[in-house]
Amino acid sequence: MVTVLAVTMIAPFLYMVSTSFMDEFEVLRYPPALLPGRPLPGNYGAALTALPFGRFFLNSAIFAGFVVAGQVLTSAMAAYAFARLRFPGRDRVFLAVLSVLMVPVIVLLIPRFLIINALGWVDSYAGLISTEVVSVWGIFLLRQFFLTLPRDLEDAARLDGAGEWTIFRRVVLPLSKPALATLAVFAFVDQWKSFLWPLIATRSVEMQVVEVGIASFHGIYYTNWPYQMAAAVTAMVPLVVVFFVAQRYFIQGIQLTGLK
Amino acid sequence: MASVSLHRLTKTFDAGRPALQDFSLDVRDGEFVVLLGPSGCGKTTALRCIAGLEEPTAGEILIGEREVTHVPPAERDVAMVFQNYALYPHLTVHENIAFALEMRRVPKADCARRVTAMAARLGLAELLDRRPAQLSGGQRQRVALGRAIVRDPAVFLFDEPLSNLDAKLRLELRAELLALHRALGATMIYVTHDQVEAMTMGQRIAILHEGRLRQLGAPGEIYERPADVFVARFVGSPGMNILTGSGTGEGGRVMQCGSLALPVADAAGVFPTQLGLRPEHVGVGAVGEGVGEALVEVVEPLGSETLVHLDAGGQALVARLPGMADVRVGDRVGVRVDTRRLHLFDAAGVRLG
Repeated sequence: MVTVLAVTMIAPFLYMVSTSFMDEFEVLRYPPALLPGRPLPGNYGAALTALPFGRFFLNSAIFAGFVVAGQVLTSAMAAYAFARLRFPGRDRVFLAVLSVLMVPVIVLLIPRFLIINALGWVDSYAGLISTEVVSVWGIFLLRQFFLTLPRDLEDAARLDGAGEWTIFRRVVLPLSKPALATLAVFAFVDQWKSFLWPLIATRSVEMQVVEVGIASFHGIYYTNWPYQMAAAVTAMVPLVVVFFVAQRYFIQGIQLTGLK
Repeated sequence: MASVSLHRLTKTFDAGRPALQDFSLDVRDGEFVVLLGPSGCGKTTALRCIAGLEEPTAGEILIGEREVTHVPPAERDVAMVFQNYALYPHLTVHENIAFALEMRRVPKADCARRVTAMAARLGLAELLDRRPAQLSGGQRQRVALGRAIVRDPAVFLFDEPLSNLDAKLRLELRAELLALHRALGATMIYVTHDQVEAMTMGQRIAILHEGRLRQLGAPGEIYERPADVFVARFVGSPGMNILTGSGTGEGGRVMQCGSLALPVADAAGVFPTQLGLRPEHVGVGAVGEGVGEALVEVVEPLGSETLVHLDAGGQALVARLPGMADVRVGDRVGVRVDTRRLHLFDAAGVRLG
């Protein structure tokens, strides 16, 4: 059963890799070829130079990098407040924040665009990044983690003379490295494969991210499948690396929140 | 060093019964006071109020001459040792001990000197670069102790510091803590549910139950003159036998408790309805001897003594017999009682006389 599931999950990926080495007419043959007759590694070079992919990768890296940093920072601070600080209406505010999880991402696209448009940030990094730096899921994840930290540690720090900010920075954050890493990994993957928002928030080719770049192999009349697949395989490499390096953080993220 | 005064302290959490009610206590400068009680009695709440980790609902707290009821913990000059040590897992022993000094902006060199001196004193010199996870329970508690002492606070607070340790280590650290108290001459308030710890360590013991102070006194006083039935039962291992009954005989001078007839003195005109008797003041003999007869239900031979659980016509009581007593389960025995050692309580459980 597990094997069957695994095969169905992995088959499209293998086909993607296989297609990326094919001749562009071989792809369209019927019955379809599963393996390229003659592998064409040159597809990669050609695809990645047909469009400014260097620039796209840089854009993706800047976009994902800033969003990761922003989400970790804002989530940690908000989560600490929701987990530990005492203020009136805290749990109600938290529920309100949490309820945002129920709003489909797609519904927010237009309001987000209107905001960055009003700020004059369309087609800039600021526009791309700004509306992504707060993650409700991240706040939830870290809050759940902070709640598991022993309160005595914070009390001990309080008696030792630490203020709230020092406790957060010197005690809570260092102890939360696994949770912070989990959030960072999820945020990175999410942003790296994000397509719709970067498509809407940018206009010029120089501002495009990898995912949008890949999509531009789709012409109106014609699609160069091998090139597109070659670009897609290349775009996947960072994700695969992240996944293997940070596998345990994925599992932890799912265990902590029961989400994703 | 400083005295600590609690004046009519009350703490109510979000809902329900107050965790602490009208609790007053004066701890003298340099005194070792134990707060003793079963879990949920309010002793930890009281300690956390003194530390400043909880804000009392009513009442006031003085440390020295200073009113500190609403002063943040850092400014109270108190140190606390926690049950689960509460060492910072990501810091080394050295950093753990130095943390409080660093927070108080003690110069680096001075700080290092004090940490090293403290480590030598507590036998931790070899462990300074380790992290808490690499230490044994006893070592961890020593580090926690070091962290408290190095600050040289006015008052030490202990929240069941030994209860996570095994029996042997507990004994060892108990002695060490007492030596420390003598050496530092510091005011110490120690919370525990273990009455052996309380009896052996406290200069005075405050017994709490359901958020209220039941008795405050020296260990001997609490053992010999318990203020009420709760204290009588709680202190001692096993606790005091409490028998209920009604007066019979001439002027009610004899109380019939199950199958036992106990002569009682008149206590200020109020007739007792509950009698207390320490297990060591109960003996067994042949049927016909003593104040009545009872059935042996359980025998616990402990080597140096034997605990015999008796059923005297529906009244349960325990006798502590010296050595390995020759008593068997199911035996019928006569119950001998040292009647001069009877404790008398009224219907509400308050001591008479």
